[in-house]
Amino acid sequence: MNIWVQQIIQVLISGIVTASVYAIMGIGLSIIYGISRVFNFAYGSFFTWGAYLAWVLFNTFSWMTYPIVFLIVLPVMFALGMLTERVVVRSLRWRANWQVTTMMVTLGLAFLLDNLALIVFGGFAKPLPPMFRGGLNPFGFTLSIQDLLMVLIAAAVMIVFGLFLSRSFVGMSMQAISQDMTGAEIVGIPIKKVFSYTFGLSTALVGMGGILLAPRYYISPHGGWEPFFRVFVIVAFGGLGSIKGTLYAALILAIFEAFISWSLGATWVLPFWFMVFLGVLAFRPSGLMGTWG
Amino acid sequence: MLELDKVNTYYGEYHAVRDVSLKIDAGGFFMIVGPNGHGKSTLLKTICGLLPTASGRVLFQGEDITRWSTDRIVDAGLVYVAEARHLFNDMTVLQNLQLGAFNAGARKKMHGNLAYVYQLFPRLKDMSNRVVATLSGGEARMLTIGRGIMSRAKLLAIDEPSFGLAPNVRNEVFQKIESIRQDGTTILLVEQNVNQVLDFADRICLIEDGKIVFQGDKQAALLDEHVNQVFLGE
Repeated sequence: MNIWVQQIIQVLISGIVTASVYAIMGIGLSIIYGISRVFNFAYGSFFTWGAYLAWVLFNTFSWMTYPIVFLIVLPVMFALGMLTERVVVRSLRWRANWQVTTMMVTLGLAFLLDNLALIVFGGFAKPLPPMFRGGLNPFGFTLSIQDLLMVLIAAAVMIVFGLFLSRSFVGMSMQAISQDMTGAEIVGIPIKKVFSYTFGLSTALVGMGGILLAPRYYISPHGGWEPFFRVFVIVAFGGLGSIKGTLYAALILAIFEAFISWSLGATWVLPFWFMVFLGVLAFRPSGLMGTWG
Repeated sequence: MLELDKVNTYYGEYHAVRDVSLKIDAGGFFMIVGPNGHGKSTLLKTICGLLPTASGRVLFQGEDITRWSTDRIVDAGLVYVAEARHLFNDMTVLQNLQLGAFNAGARKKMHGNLAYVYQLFPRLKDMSNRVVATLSGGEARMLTIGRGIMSRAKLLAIDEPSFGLAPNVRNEVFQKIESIRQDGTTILLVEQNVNQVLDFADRICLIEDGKIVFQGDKQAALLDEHVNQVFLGE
Protein backbone atom coordinates (compact mmCIF):
# COMPACT_ATOMS: atom_id res chain seq x y z
CA MET A 1 0.00 0.00 0.00
CA ASN A 2 1.07 3.55 -0.68
CA ILE A 3 2.98 4.91 2.31
CA TRP A 4 0.90 8.11 2.35
CA VAL A 5 -2.40 6.32 2.38
CA GLN A 6 -1.12 4.11 5.12
CA GLN A 7 -0.04 7.07 7.24
CA ILE A 8 -3.29 8.89 6.68
CA ILE A 9 -5.25 5.86 7.80
CA GLN A 10 -3.02 5.62 10.85
CA VAL A 11 -3.69 9.25 11.73
CA LEU A 12 -7.39 8.76 11.16
CA ILE A 13 -7.42 5.82 13.56
CA SER A 14 -5.57 7.77 16.21
CA GLY A 15 -8.11 10.60 15.81
CA ILE A 16 -11.06 8.27 16.17
CA VAL A 17 -9.57 6.71 19.31
CA THR A 18 -9.13 10.03 21.10
CA ALA A 19 -12.49 11.20 19.76
CA SER A 20 -14.28 8.32 21.42
CA VAL A 21 -12.84 9.20 24.82
CA TYR A 22 -13.45 12.93 24.31
CA ALA A 23 -17.02 12.12 23.41
CA ILE A 24 -17.85 10.40 26.70
CA MET A 25 -16.13 13.20 28.60
CA GLY A 26 -18.05 15.71 26.52
CA ILE A 27 -21.34 14.07 27.40
CA GLY A 28 -20.40 14.33 31.07
CA LEU A 29 -19.64 18.04 30.79
CA SER A 30 -22.71 18.64 28.72
CA ILE A 31 -25.21 16.99 31.08
CA ILE A 32 -23.85 18.82 34.08
CA TYR A 33 -24.53 22.12 32.35
CA GLY A 34 -27.70 21.15 30.52
CA ILE A 35 -29.37 19.57 33.52
CA SER A 36 -27.97 21.12 36.66
CA ARG A 37 -27.11 24.48 35.00
CA VAL A 38 -23.64 24.48 36.53
CA PHE A 39 -20.39 25.01 34.72
CA ASN A 40 -17.96 22.77 36.56
CA PHE A 41 -14.41 24.10 36.44
CA ALA A 42 -13.15 21.17 38.49
CA TYR A 43 -14.01 18.80 35.63
CA GLY A 44 -10.36 18.43 34.59
CA SER A 45 -9.28 17.77 38.15
CA PHE A 46 -11.72 14.89 38.40
CA PHE A 47 -10.19 13.57 35.17
CA THR A 48 -6.80 13.57 36.88
CA TRP A 49 -8.11 12.10 40.11
CA GLY A 50 -9.82 9.25 38.31
CA ALA A 51 -6.49 8.32 36.79
CA TYR A 52 -4.63 8.73 40.11
CA LEU A 53 -7.08 6.47 41.88
CA ALA A 54 -6.47 3.83 39.22
CA TRP A 55 -2.72 4.32 39.69
CA VAL A 56 -3.06 3.81 43.45
CA LEU A 57 -4.97 0.58 42.89
CA PHE A 58 -2.41 -0.74 40.42
CA ASN A 59 0.44 0.10 42.76
CA THR A 60 -1.18 -1.32 45.88
CA PHE A 61 -2.37 -4.63 44.49
CA SER A 62 -0.10 -6.43 42.10
CA TRP A 63 -3.00 -8.53 40.78
CA MET A 64 -5.05 -5.49 39.82
CA THR A 65 -6.76 -5.51 36.42
CA TYR A 66 -8.63 -2.85 34.47
CA PRO A 67 -12.14 -4.28 34.90
CA ILE A 68 -11.70 -4.22 38.68
CA VAL A 69 -10.22 -0.72 38.52
CA PHE A 70 -13.33 0.50 36.69
CA LEU A 71 -15.60 -1.31 39.13
CA ILE A 72 -13.94 0.44 42.06
CA VAL A 73 -13.02 3.87 40.70
CA LEU A 74 -16.23 4.70 38.84
CA PRO A 75 -18.51 4.35 41.89
CA VAL A 76 -15.98 6.34 43.94
CA MET A 77 -16.01 9.09 41.30
CA PHE A 78 -19.80 8.98 41.24
CA ALA A 79 -19.89 9.48 45.00
CA LEU A 80 -17.30 12.24 44.79
CA GLY A 81 -19.43 14.04 42.21
CA MET A 82 -22.55 13.76 44.36
CA LEU A 83 -20.60 15.01 47.35
CA THR A 84 -19.37 18.00 45.34
CA GLU A 85 -22.93 18.86 44.39
CA ARG A 86 -24.13 18.57 47.97
CA VAL A 87 -21.32 20.50 49.59
CA VAL A 88 -20.30 23.02 46.96
CA VAL A 89 -23.23 23.68 44.66
CA ARG A 90 -26.43 23.08 46.58
CA SER A 91 -25.97 25.84 49.13
CA LEU A 92 -25.24 28.39 46.39
CA ARG A 93 -28.02 27.43 43.99
CA TRP A 94 -30.69 30.04 43.23
CA ARG A 95 -28.91 32.83 45.09
CA ALA A 96 -28.17 36.04 43.23
CA ASN A 97 -25.56 35.39 40.49
CA TRP A 98 -25.22 31.81 41.66
CA GLN A 99 -24.04 30.56 38.28
CA VAL A 100 -21.00 32.82 38.29
CA THR A 101 -20.41 32.08 41.95
CA THR A 102 -20.45 28.32 41.42
CA MET A 103 -18.05 28.74 38.51
CA MET A 104 -15.63 30.54 40.81
CA VAL A 105 -16.12 28.04 43.60
CA THR A 106 -15.57 25.05 41.31
CA LEU A 107 -12.46 26.81 40.02
CA GLY A 108 -11.28 27.00 43.61
CA LEU A 109 -12.11 23.33 44.03
CA ALA A 110 -10.00 22.58 40.95
CA PHE A 111 -6.97 24.30 42.50
CA LEU A 112 -7.58 22.47 45.74
CA LEU A 113 -7.79 19.07 44.05
CA ASP A 114 -4.80 19.72 41.78
CA ASN A 115 -2.59 20.81 44.62
CA LEU A 116 -3.78 17.99 46.80
CA ALA A 117 -2.66 15.66 44.01
CA LEU A 118 0.68 17.48 43.90
CA ILE A 119 1.17 16.99 47.65
CA VAL A 120 0.03 13.37 47.68
CA PHE A 121 1.59 12.09 44.47
CA GLY A 122 4.36 14.58 43.79
CA GLY A 123 5.16 16.40 40.60
CA PHE A 124 6.53 13.45 38.67
CA ALA A 125 4.24 12.13 36.00
CA LYS A 126 2.88 8.67 36.66
CA PRO A 127 2.17 5.99 34.09
CA LEU A 128 -0.65 3.45 34.01
CA PRO A 129 0.06 0.00 32.61
CA PRO A 130 -1.23 -0.64 29.09
CA MET A 131 -4.73 -2.05 28.99
CA PHE A 132 -3.76 -4.67 26.49
CA ARG A 133 -0.53 -5.50 24.73
CA GLY A 134 -0.24 -6.50 21.16
CA GLY A 135 -1.96 -5.43 18.01
CA LEU A 136 -3.52 -6.39 14.75
CA ASN A 137 -2.12 -5.79 11.30
CA PRO A 138 -5.03 -5.65 8.91
CA PHE A 139 -4.06 -4.47 5.38
CA GLY A 140 -0.58 -3.50 6.46
CA PHE A 141 -1.33 -0.82 9.04
CA THR A 142 -1.15 -1.40 12.78
CA LEU A 143 -4.09 -1.29 15.08
CA SER A 144 -3.28 -1.83 18.74
CA ILE A 145 -5.82 -3.84 20.66
CA GLN A 146 -5.72 -1.20 23.39
CA ASP A 147 -6.96 1.44 20.93
CA LEU A 148 -9.65 -0.90 19.71
CA LEU A 149 -10.73 -1.54 23.31
CA MET A 150 -10.90 2.20 24.03
CA VAL A 151 -13.22 2.77 21.10
CA LEU A 152 -15.37 -0.22 22.01
CA ILE A 153 -15.65 0.80 25.67
CA ALA A 154 -16.48 4.38 24.78
CA ALA A 155 -19.05 3.27 22.21
CA ALA A 156 -20.65 0.92 24.74
CA VAL A 157 -20.81 3.72 27.33
CA MET A 158 -22.48 6.04 24.82
CA ILE A 159 -25.05 3.46 23.75
CA VAL A 160 -25.90 2.55 27.34
CA PHE A 161 -26.11 6.21 28.26
CA GLY A 162 -28.38 6.96 25.31
CA LEU A 163 -30.72 4.14 26.32
CA PHE A 164 -30.62 5.29 29.92
CA LEU A 165 -31.67 8.81 28.89
CA SER A 166 -34.52 7.74 26.63
CA ARG A 167 -35.83 4.64 28.38
CA SER A 168 -35.36 4.92 32.13
CA PHE A 169 -37.49 7.13 34.35
CA VAL A 170 -34.41 8.79 35.85
CA GLY A 171 -32.97 9.43 32.39
CA MET A 172 -36.27 10.85 31.20
CA SER A 173 -36.44 13.06 34.26
CA MET A 174 -32.98 14.40 33.37
CA GLN A 175 -34.20 15.29 29.90
CA ALA A 176 -37.29 16.84 31.41
CA ILE A 177 -35.22 19.08 33.69
CA SER A 178 -33.06 20.18 30.79
CA GLN A 179 -36.14 21.08 28.74
CA ASP A 180 -38.21 22.82 31.41
CA MET A 181 -37.04 22.89 34.98
CA THR A 182 -40.28 24.30 36.39
CA GLY A 183 -42.24 21.72 34.42
CA ALA A 184 -40.08 19.02 35.97
CA GLU A 185 -40.77 20.37 39.44
CA ILE A 186 -44.50 20.50 38.70
CA VAL A 187 -44.69 16.83 37.79
CA GLY A 188 -42.96 16.00 41.03
CA ILE A 189 -39.44 15.21 39.88
CA PRO A 190 -37.16 15.64 42.90
CA ILE A 191 -34.89 18.00 41.03
CA LYS A 192 -32.30 18.33 43.79
CA LYS A 193 -31.78 14.58 43.82
CA VAL A 194 -31.49 14.50 40.04
CA PHE A 195 -28.89 17.31 40.20
CA SER A 196 -26.82 15.12 42.53
CA TYR A 197 -27.13 12.09 40.28
CA THR A 198 -26.15 14.22 37.30
CA PHE A 199 -23.03 15.43 39.09
CA GLY A 200 -22.20 11.87 40.06
CA LEU A 201 -22.70 10.57 36.55
CA SER A 202 -20.72 13.39 35.01
CA THR A 203 -17.82 12.87 37.40
CA ALA A 204 -17.83 9.12 36.76
CA LEU A 205 -17.72 9.77 33.00
CA VAL A 206 -14.74 12.11 33.23
CA GLY A 207 -12.98 9.76 35.66
CA MET A 208 -13.46 7.03 33.10
CA GLY A 209 -11.93 9.30 30.48
CA GLY A 210 -8.96 9.86 32.79
CA ILE A 211 -8.38 6.15 33.18
CA LEU A 212 -8.81 5.43 29.47
CA LEU A 213 -6.35 8.12 28.39
CA ALA A 214 -3.77 7.52 31.13
CA PRO A 215 -2.06 4.54 29.47
CA ARG A 216 -1.39 6.75 26.41
CA TYR A 217 -0.39 9.89 28.26
CA TYR A 218 1.06 10.28 31.73
CA ILE A 219 -0.83 11.40 34.82
CA SER A 220 0.31 14.66 36.39
CA PRO A 221 -1.31 16.97 38.96
CA HIS A 222 -2.28 19.63 36.43
CA GLY A 223 -2.70 17.27 33.51
CA GLY A 224 -6.48 17.55 33.52
CA TRP A 225 -6.64 21.09 32.18
CA GLU A 226 -5.71 20.37 28.59
CA PRO A 227 -8.21 17.56 28.05
CA PHE A 228 -10.79 19.65 29.91
CA PHE A 229 -10.22 22.55 27.56
CA ARG A 230 -10.55 20.30 24.51
CA VAL A 231 -13.72 18.73 25.82
CA PHE A 232 -15.10 22.19 26.55
CA VAL A 233 -14.45 23.26 22.96
CA ILE A 234 -16.04 20.04 21.71
CA VAL A 235 -19.16 20.63 23.77
CA ALA A 236 -19.37 24.27 22.65
CA PHE A 237 -18.85 23.22 19.03
CA GLY A 238 -21.41 20.43 19.20
CA GLY A 239 -23.98 22.48 21.04
CA LEU A 240 -24.37 22.30 24.81
CA GLY A 241 -26.72 19.54 25.76
CA SER A 242 -26.85 17.82 22.41
CA ILE A 243 -25.41 14.33 22.72
CA LYS A 244 -25.34 13.77 18.98
CA GLY A 245 -23.68 17.15 18.52
CA THR A 246 -21.04 16.24 21.10
CA LEU A 247 -20.33 12.97 19.33
CA TYR A 248 -19.95 14.59 15.90
CA ALA A 249 -17.88 17.44 17.29
CA ALA A 250 -15.57 15.00 19.07
CA LEU A 251 -15.04 13.05 15.87
CA ILE A 252 -14.47 16.09 13.67
CA LEU A 253 -12.15 17.91 16.05
CA ALA A 254 -10.15 14.93 17.26
CA ILE A 255 -9.49 13.79 13.69
CA PHE A 256 -8.46 17.34 12.77
CA GLU A 257 -6.22 17.39 15.81
CA ALA A 258 -4.57 14.15 14.75
CA PHE A 259 -3.93 15.49 11.26
CA ILE A 260 -2.52 18.78 12.52
CA SER A 261 -0.26 17.01 14.95
CA TRP A 262 0.96 14.77 12.12
CA SER A 263 1.37 17.43 9.45
CA LEU A 264 2.33 20.61 11.34
CA GLY A 265 3.58 19.16 14.61
CA ALA A 266 2.21 18.86 18.13
CA THR A 267 2.92 22.52 18.97
CA TRP A 268 0.07 23.56 16.67
CA VAL A 269 -2.50 21.44 18.39
CA LEU A 270 -3.48 23.85 21.17
CA PRO A 271 -3.60 26.92 18.91
CA PHE A 272 -5.90 24.88 16.70
CA TRP A 273 -8.31 24.26 19.60
CA PHE A 274 -8.24 27.95 20.52
CA MET A 275 -9.06 28.93 16.96
CA VAL A 276 -11.97 26.52 16.83
CA PHE A 277 -13.23 27.91 20.11
CA LEU A 278 -13.05 31.50 18.87
CA GLY A 279 -14.68 30.45 15.63
CA VAL A 280 -17.58 28.84 17.45
CA LEU A 281 -18.09 31.89 19.64
CA ALA A 282 -17.96 34.21 16.66
CA PHE A 283 -20.06 32.33 14.13
CA ARG A 284 -22.24 29.80 15.86
CA PRO A 285 -22.45 30.30 19.63
CA SER A 286 -25.28 27.77 19.91
CA GLY A 287 -23.06 25.10 18.38
CA LEU A 288 -23.52 22.59 15.61
CA MET A 289 -26.80 21.22 16.91
CA GLY A 290 -27.30 23.58 19.84
CA THR A 291 -30.56 23.04 21.62
CA TRP A 292 -30.41 23.48 25.33
CA GLY A 293 -28.44 26.71 25.55
CA MET B 1 -59.18 18.94 52.11
CA LEU B 2 -56.95 22.00 51.75
CA GLU B 3 -56.68 24.66 54.39
CA LEU B 4 -54.65 27.86 54.39
CA ASP B 5 -53.98 29.73 57.58
CA LYS B 6 -52.69 33.30 57.25
CA VAL B 7 -50.32 32.50 54.41
CA ASN B 8 -47.81 35.17 53.32
CA THR B 9 -45.50 35.02 50.33
CA TYR B 10 -42.92 37.41 48.96
CA TYR B 11 -41.95 37.57 45.34
CA GLY B 12 -38.46 38.95 45.74
CA GLU B 13 -39.08 42.10 47.78
CA TYR B 14 -42.72 42.29 46.85
CA HIS B 15 -45.30 41.14 49.38
CA ALA B 16 -47.49 39.25 46.92
CA VAL B 17 -49.75 37.18 49.17
CA ARG B 18 -51.00 38.74 52.40
CA ASP B 19 -52.58 36.78 55.25
CA VAL B 20 -54.63 34.51 53.03
CA SER B 21 -56.82 32.01 54.88
CA LEU B 22 -59.22 29.71 53.12
CA LYS B 23 -60.69 26.25 53.22
CA ILE B 24 -61.43 23.98 50.29
CA ASP B 25 -63.75 21.01 50.71
CA ALA B 26 -63.14 17.67 49.07
CA GLY B 27 -64.99 17.24 45.78
CA GLY B 28 -65.57 20.95 45.39
CA PHE B 29 -64.88 23.45 42.63
CA PHE B 30 -63.15 26.36 44.26
CA MET B 31 -62.38 29.41 42.19
CA ILE B 32 -59.97 32.22 42.98
CA VAL B 33 -60.60 35.31 40.91
CA GLY B 34 -58.95 38.68 40.77
CA PRO B 35 -57.29 41.14 38.45
CA ASN B 36 -54.01 40.32 36.76
CA GLY B 37 -50.91 40.65 38.91
CA HIS B 38 -52.70 40.58 42.25
CA GLY B 39 -51.12 37.43 43.63
CA LYS B 40 -53.44 34.66 42.45
CA SER B 41 -50.77 32.63 40.65
CA THR B 42 -48.29 33.32 43.41
CA LEU B 43 -50.76 31.88 45.88
CA LEU B 44 -51.15 28.68 43.84
CA LYS B 45 -47.39 28.30 43.48
CA THR B 46 -47.00 28.80 47.21
CA ILE B 47 -49.56 26.11 47.99
CA CYS B 48 -47.80 23.66 45.66
CA GLY B 49 -44.36 24.33 47.11
CA LEU B 50 -42.95 26.07 44.05
CA LEU B 51 -42.47 29.26 46.07
CA PRO B 52 -41.47 29.36 49.74
CA THR B 53 -44.11 30.35 52.28
CA ALA B 54 -42.88 33.29 54.35
CA SER B 55 -45.33 32.71 57.18
CA GLY B 56 -48.58 30.88 57.86
CA ARG B 57 -49.55 27.26 57.36
CA VAL B 58 -50.82 25.11 54.51
CA LEU B 59 -52.67 21.93 55.49
CA PHE B 60 -53.51 19.24 52.95
CA GLN B 61 -55.67 16.35 54.13
CA GLY B 62 -54.86 17.28 57.68
CA GLU B 63 -51.10 17.30 57.20
CA ASP B 64 -48.94 20.40 57.45
CA ILE B 65 -47.28 20.63 54.03
CA THR B 66 -45.97 24.20 54.40
CA ARG B 67 -42.30 23.20 54.26
CA TRP B 68 -42.64 20.18 51.98
CA SER B 69 -40.80 20.02 48.68
CA THR B 70 -42.91 20.01 45.53
CA ASP B 71 -42.20 16.36 44.72
CA ARG B 72 -43.52 15.33 48.14
CA ILE B 73 -46.60 17.51 47.71
CA VAL B 74 -47.26 16.01 44.28
CA ASP B 75 -46.89 12.53 45.73
CA ALA B 76 -49.51 13.43 48.34
CA GLY B 77 -51.93 14.30 45.52
CA LEU B 78 -51.82 18.09 45.30
CA VAL B 79 -50.84 18.89 41.73
CA TYR B 80 -50.22 22.22 40.04
CA VAL B 81 -51.23 22.82 36.43
CA ALA B 82 -49.34 25.81 35.12
CA GLU B 83 -50.74 28.66 33.07
CA ALA B 84 -47.62 28.87 30.93
CA ARG B 85 -47.17 25.51 29.26
CA HIS B 86 -44.15 24.18 31.15
CA LEU B 87 -44.36 21.07 29.02
CA PHE B 88 -41.35 19.11 27.78
CA ASN B 89 -41.31 20.46 24.27
CA ASP B 90 -38.85 18.06 22.63
CA MET B 91 -40.65 14.99 23.91
CA THR B 92 -43.80 13.31 22.67
CA VAL B 93 -47.27 13.69 24.13
CA LEU B 94 -47.02 10.20 25.59
CA GLN B 95 -43.64 10.87 27.22
CA ASN B 96 -45.03 14.02 28.81
CA LEU B 97 -47.93 12.05 30.22
CA GLN B 98 -45.58 9.34 31.47
CA LEU B 99 -43.46 11.93 33.23
CA GLY B 100 -46.63 13.16 34.92
CA ALA B 101 -46.66 9.78 36.62
CA PHE B 102 -43.14 10.26 37.97
CA ASN B 103 -43.89 9.81 41.67
CA ALA B 104 -43.91 6.25 42.96
CA GLY B 105 -47.62 6.13 43.79
CA ALA B 106 -48.64 7.44 40.38
CA ARG B 107 -46.30 5.10 38.53
CA LYS B 108 -48.21 2.07 39.79
CA LYS B 109 -51.47 3.60 38.55
CA MET B 110 -49.98 4.75 35.24
CA HIS B 111 -51.94 2.50 32.89
CA GLY B 112 -55.31 3.21 34.45
CA ASN B 113 -54.70 6.94 34.58
CA LEU B 114 -53.45 6.98 31.00
CA ALA B 115 -56.62 5.26 29.84
CA TYR B 116 -58.65 7.83 31.77
CA VAL B 117 -56.75 10.77 30.25
CA TYR B 118 -57.20 9.33 26.74
CA GLN B 119 -60.89 8.81 27.34
CA LEU B 120 -61.22 12.38 28.59
CA PHE B 121 -59.10 13.86 25.78
CA PRO B 122 -59.37 11.52 22.78
CA ARG B 123 -57.31 13.99 20.75
CA LEU B 124 -54.29 13.35 22.98
CA LYS B 125 -54.55 9.67 22.19
CA ASP B 126 -54.45 10.38 18.46
CA MET B 127 -51.43 12.60 18.94
CA SER B 128 -49.58 10.46 21.46
CA ASN B 129 -46.46 10.24 19.30
CA ARG B 130 -46.41 13.89 18.26
CA VAL B 131 -43.66 16.12 19.55
CA VAL B 132 -45.13 18.62 21.97
CA ALA B 133 -43.55 21.66 20.31
CA THR B 134 -45.99 21.16 17.41
CA LEU B 135 -49.19 21.28 19.50
CA SER B 136 -51.67 24.14 19.34
CA GLY B 137 -52.45 26.23 22.42
CA GLY B 138 -55.64 24.32 23.17
CA GLU B 139 -54.01 20.93 22.71
CA ALA B 140 -51.14 21.95 24.96
CA ARG B 141 -53.60 23.07 27.64
CA MET B 142 -55.34 19.69 27.47
CA LEU B 143 -51.96 18.03 27.81
CA THR B 144 -50.99 20.07 30.90
CA ILE B 145 -54.26 19.03 32.53
CA GLY B 146 -53.81 15.42 31.42
CA ARG B 147 -50.29 15.42 32.80
CA GLY B 148 -51.67 16.69 36.11
CA ILE B 149 -54.17 13.81 36.23
CA MET B 150 -51.33 11.37 35.56
CA SER B 151 -49.75 12.47 38.85
CA ARG B 152 -52.71 10.78 40.57
CA ALA B 153 -54.05 14.16 41.65
CA LYS B 154 -56.61 14.38 44.41
CA LEU B 155 -56.65 18.14 44.07
CA LEU B 156 -55.78 19.86 40.82
CA ALA B 157 -54.64 23.45 41.25
CA ILE B 158 -55.16 24.91 37.79
CA ASP B 159 -53.68 28.27 36.89
CA GLU B 160 -55.73 30.29 34.37
CA PRO B 161 -56.82 27.49 32.05
CA SER B 162 -58.44 29.96 29.68
CA PHE B 163 -55.30 32.05 29.22
CA GLY B 164 -54.62 32.71 25.54
CA LEU B 165 -57.37 30.43 24.23
CA ALA B 166 -60.20 31.18 21.80
CA PRO B 167 -63.65 31.36 23.46
CA ASN B 168 -64.93 28.07 22.06
CA VAL B 169 -61.78 26.22 23.13
CA ARG B 170 -62.06 27.80 26.58
CA ASN B 171 -65.52 26.41 26.95
CA GLU B 172 -64.33 22.95 26.04
CA VAL B 173 -61.52 23.16 28.57
CA PHE B 174 -63.91 24.19 31.34
CA GLN B 175 -66.30 21.38 30.45
CA LYS B 176 -63.45 18.91 30.76
CA ILE B 177 -62.39 20.33 34.10
CA GLU B 178 -65.95 20.02 35.36
CA SER B 179 -66.10 16.39 34.29
CA ILE B 180 -62.80 15.73 36.08
CA ARG B 181 -64.43 17.15 39.20
CA GLN B 182 -67.47 14.95 38.73
CA ASP B 183 -65.14 11.96 38.59
CA GLY B 184 -63.94 12.82 42.07
CA THR B 185 -60.98 15.20 41.81
CA THR B 186 -61.22 18.42 43.77
CA ILE B 187 -60.62 21.52 41.67
CA LEU B 188 -58.92 24.73 42.70
CA LEU B 189 -58.92 27.16 39.84
CA VAL B 190 -57.45 30.59 39.33
CA GLU B 191 -59.10 32.79 36.72
CA GLN B 192 -59.21 36.32 35.52
CA ASN B 193 -62.12 35.65 33.29
CA VAL B 194 -65.08 35.10 35.58
CA ASN B 195 -68.16 34.96 33.41
CA GLN B 196 -67.47 31.61 31.85
CA VAL B 197 -66.51 29.77 35.00
CA LEU B 198 -69.14 31.09 37.32
CA ASP B 199 -71.51 28.31 36.30
CA PHE B 200 -69.14 25.61 37.51
CA ALA B 201 -67.67 27.05 40.67
CA ASP B 202 -69.33 26.33 43.96
CA ARG B 203 -67.15 28.66 45.99
CA ILE B 204 -65.55 31.88 44.91
CA CYS B 205 -62.88 33.99 46.43
CA LEU B 206 -61.81 37.39 45.18
CA ILE B 207 -58.20 38.47 45.68
CA GLU B 208 -56.97 42.02 45.36
CA ASP B 209 -53.49 43.19 46.25
CA GLY B 210 -52.72 39.76 47.63
CA LYS B 211 -55.59 39.92 50.13
CA ILE B 212 -58.91 38.12 50.14
CA VAL B 213 -61.62 40.73 49.80
CA PHE B 214 -64.56 38.37 49.29
CA GLN B 215 -65.23 34.73 49.93
CA GLY B 216 -68.50 32.86 49.53
CA ASP B 217 -70.67 30.70 47.30
CA LYS B 218 -71.96 31.60 43.86
CA GLN B 219 -75.21 33.21 45.05
CA ALA B 220 -73.37 35.38 47.53
CA ALA B 221 -70.90 36.39 44.83
CA LEU B 222 -73.69 37.41 42.49
CA LEU B 223 -75.19 39.54 45.24
CA ASP B 224 -71.95 41.09 46.42
CA GLU B 225 -71.62 44.67 45.30
CA HIS B 226 -67.84 44.69 45.07
CA VAL B 227 -67.62 41.44 43.09
CA ASN B 228 -70.17 42.80 40.68
CA GLN B 229 -68.28 46.02 40.35
CA VAL B 230 -65.02 44.27 39.54
CA PHE B 231 -66.25 41.55 37.24
CA LEU B 232 -69.70 42.04 35.96
CA GLY B 233 -69.19 45.67 35.14
CA GLU B 234 -72.15 46.88 37.18
